[in-house]
Amino acid sequence: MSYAIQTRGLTKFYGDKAVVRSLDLKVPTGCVYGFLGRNGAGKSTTIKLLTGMVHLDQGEAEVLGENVATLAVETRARIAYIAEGHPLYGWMTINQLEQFSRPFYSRWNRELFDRIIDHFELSRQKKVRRFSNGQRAQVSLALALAPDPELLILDDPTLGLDTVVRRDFLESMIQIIQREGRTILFSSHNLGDVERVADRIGVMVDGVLRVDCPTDLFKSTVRLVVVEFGGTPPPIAELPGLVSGMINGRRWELVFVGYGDTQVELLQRLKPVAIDVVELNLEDAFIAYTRGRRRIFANDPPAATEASPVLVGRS
Amino acid sequence: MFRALFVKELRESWWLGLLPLAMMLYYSAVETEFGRVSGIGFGFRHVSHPERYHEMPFGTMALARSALLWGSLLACGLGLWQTFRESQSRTWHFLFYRPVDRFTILWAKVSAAAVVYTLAILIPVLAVCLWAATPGTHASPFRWLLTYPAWYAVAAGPVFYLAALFAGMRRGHLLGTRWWPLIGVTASFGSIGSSFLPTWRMDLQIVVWAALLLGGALLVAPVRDELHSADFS
Repeated sequence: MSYAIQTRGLTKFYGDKAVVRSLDLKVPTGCVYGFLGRNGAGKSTTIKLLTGMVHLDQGEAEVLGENVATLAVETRARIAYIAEGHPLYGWMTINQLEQFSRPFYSRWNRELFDRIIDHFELSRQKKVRRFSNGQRAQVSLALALAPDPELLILDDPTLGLDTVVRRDFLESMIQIIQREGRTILFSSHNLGDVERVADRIGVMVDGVLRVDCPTDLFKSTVRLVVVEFGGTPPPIAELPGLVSGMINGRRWELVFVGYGDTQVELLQRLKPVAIDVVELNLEDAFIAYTRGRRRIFANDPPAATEASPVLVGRS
Repeated sequence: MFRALFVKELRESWWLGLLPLAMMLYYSAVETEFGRVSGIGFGFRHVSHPERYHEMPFGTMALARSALLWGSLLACGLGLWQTFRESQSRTWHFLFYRPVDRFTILWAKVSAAAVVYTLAILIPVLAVCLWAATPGTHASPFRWLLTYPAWYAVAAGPVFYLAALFAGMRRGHLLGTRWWPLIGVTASFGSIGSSFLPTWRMDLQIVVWAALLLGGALLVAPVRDELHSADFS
């Protein structure tokens, strides 16, 4: 399998704090990869590291087979990057933005650019600063796609957009890019967006990639298990695949990755009154996975085990 | 590529030259007594410096001082506008990601600033010098050495520009070390306004500062990254 993005031990410090720690990320070519994490998890920094906007401290990263530290200008022309907030020159019109951007790219597809602008019904004479957030996102998308990129890296591209614009933006992006076998890496806080378009997801927690797997696998593997006891429940023990848990009255509410026979057997030994397994959608699974650990674990959650195959085992 | 960057820089910064140009035109008129010679209006020089009305061109050093003041202000404005504005509006993200090397971006900025500075400061000074050097335009002797203070002032502008550009480019606290290049240059040139004595030390000062700051900018340009300690998301 070839990878559009591959990192090994990627690490970045801001002062004394490691905001990205030993990141081993692999994004297969042709994949739409949703990059998730709470605020401060290290998503944007990782994206900036991959695009060369921030220099890495340790490890290495390759995009389209080339080291990002020495990324050639020609290779960068094959990678589109949309920064968070869609920073564009407000005094320019769409026509001026195109005139400015076109000379940098040998494969600039003017017809595609025009098609995207027309599709979004954007005025070419209007200055960018007069556009709404959603329209600026659309302009950014047109500018990113016109050079015919092989890899598209988007840092929370739908942030601040209303539901309709957000969906239109994503669908257009996927329609235009994915049918030609291009690779997309995008970070998002909107789990619905990710669920809709991503083939694969990565979840960053405190600078560490905790999950890297197909979206469906993550959804099907993360389970909320409610264990009801007859009396006061015992303290929650560490169990294989357990990522978070809390005691609620006479119940344990546990979130597992890779809940299976091993966990059932271990829980049965505690002689509970009932064990209920609840399926989670991506949003619930993500929240449970990224929020819960602090409640019961003083240290990092258990590392990957055979029972938790989707975890990227790293402490 | 360069052209696109150059045009963009020029369109963003040309207006900064308007006020300095107006002031330089005024002082050029004062120096050349354009108003009197042309019969339009009245003698500017007579109004602004009545006690020195009969001095020879460049005798008052008003033009040199004006060039130093407005040239350095324009230069600082250009340098900071070209860097801080990109940083504040976060358009660095857009600009830095164009597939072009950082030096081309830097040269485009420097070239656009050079054009604005030339039009606003250098050309008025040059015009006055040529007027003064032309026989029959005024009843006083002329030597090119007399224009030295004005040219020195013109040459100081690029040093201020490079200091401002470097201050805007380099990493540093907004209320701290970031401003060292500008503080150093200002302190170094601060006393010039009252003396303007042509010495090799003054020439050397410009050359050394310019070399140091340009070297600094060239070192910082390829490694400058978009780092915000608050931006951890």
